[in-house]
Amino acid sequence: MRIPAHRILLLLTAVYVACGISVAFAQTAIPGNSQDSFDNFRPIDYERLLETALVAIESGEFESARQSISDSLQIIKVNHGLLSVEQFPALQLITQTAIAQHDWPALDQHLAYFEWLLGKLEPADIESYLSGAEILNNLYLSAAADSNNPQNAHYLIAAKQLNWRAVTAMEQRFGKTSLRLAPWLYDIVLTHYYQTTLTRRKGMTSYDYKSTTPVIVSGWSLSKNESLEQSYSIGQELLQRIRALYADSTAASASTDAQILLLIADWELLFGKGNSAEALYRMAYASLQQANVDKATLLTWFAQPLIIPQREFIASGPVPPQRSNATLNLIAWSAVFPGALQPPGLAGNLALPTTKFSATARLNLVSNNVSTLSSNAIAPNVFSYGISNLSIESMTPDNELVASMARSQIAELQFRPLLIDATVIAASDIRLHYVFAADTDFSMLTDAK
Amino acid sequence: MCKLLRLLVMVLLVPVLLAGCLAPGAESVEPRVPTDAEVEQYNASVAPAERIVCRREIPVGSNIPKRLCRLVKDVEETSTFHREQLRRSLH
Repeated sequence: MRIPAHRILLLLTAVYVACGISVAFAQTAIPGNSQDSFDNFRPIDYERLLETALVAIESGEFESARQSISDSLQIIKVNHGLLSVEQFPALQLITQTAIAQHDWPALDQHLAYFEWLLGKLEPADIESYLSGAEILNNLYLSAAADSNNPQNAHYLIAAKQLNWRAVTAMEQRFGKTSLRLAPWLYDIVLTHYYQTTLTRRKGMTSYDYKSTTPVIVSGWSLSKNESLEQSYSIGQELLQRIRALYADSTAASASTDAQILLLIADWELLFGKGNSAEALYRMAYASLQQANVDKATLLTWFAQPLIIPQREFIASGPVPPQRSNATLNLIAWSAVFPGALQPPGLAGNLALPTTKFSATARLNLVSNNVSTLSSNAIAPNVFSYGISNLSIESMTPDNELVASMARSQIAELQFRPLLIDATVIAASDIRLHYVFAADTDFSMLTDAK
Repeated sequence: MCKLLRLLVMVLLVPVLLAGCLAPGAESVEPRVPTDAEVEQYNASVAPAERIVCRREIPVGSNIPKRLCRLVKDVEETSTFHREQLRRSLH
């Protein structure tokens, strides 16, 4: 068969153009890359680049860090594929860098790419999807907790919606009764708690609460009370669902049920429904007593002060104590979410930003101290449990403004009631070391100096 | 005897009259309104226009609040329609 000369010429031209494009792509894929030590097609140790970036971030050299992470991402894509899970650590780090730099357009770009990647992974590889969703969820929460970010609510809602999508994917894959759903459902409950701290500060919830995109839902903004009521009802429903999941499983036990009952009771107390909370605390205590749990274990469960809501879902046994050397150590999460503690695993490999501002306080915990609870608990006959006789022992730096801020922030904390023999008891002389959130505004203090 | 007969007629008639007050097809079960959590889960997986918003409303002719759920798309269309009607009536 004879091929016409012009066809051969056309084919050669096409091959030449294709080679030219691929070479050009290889050269321009890393904008501004001045390093000659590697090329995109050589599977060099991208982890080394990420370690370099980590060091650069910790020393505040964000631009250099971003360059290293972009390089490593490019190498990962070329060597492991566009849909490779190896991108997760690099994506996490580059997004954290954007948050640290307050570069919101870049943050949105990285988050959108991560979402796209997860959307591609979900049908084929559920485990990779879930591990990526966990990382992305933490990134959304970090963005929501940044007090410089103008769209806190938007990121918080995006985190919640991602959690829901993960739950839907798990229901389809593992069934609606899978115990693996429990921590994800609890994370949604926690997000609702964070949402209420934002809602309490707003008259009406904006469209941010209903959409991940800036779409205005006309005439359907919820009032503050409607939004709080909705969060309460969703939290309650999900906690009851977690309880049912465990009750119907092989993991069912008295201690698991008591643990989940405590979470439900905490939820009631957080929303000012003290009487039902007290009944549930007693029920949890009684169920453990009936299961012949010894007194020493009951003390571990109920006789230590604990901040609510509990930061993570632990199905069995009492929560590890937060105190060391008889002092309760607390690190506030963010100025955006007063009274909330740092969720575990939020920062990944990155060291959390620290603050030198802290205070040591002494306080008592008493029941029916209405003034320290949420605004819903106004009826005097409603059971409540809160702080009294709060005094600041010392603060760093030694300044009245720090003491005053510590007083107001510690007063926002909510404690689980202490129980002995199924009766709520007061606790006195609790020592608490409170470290302020890194983004707490102490500019007045600096200005005064 | 007459009183007794009247009472008997009343006892028999009242349920019949009450049954007549029911709307046609009322014996069919009303569709279950989804819970807040179910709505939130659904909304997380669909496009913004396909989302559902639910809230308690007091319907005309009653003082009992009822939970109503609507598609965002429908809410938007109704709002646009009402705005258009208002504009027409003003001009």
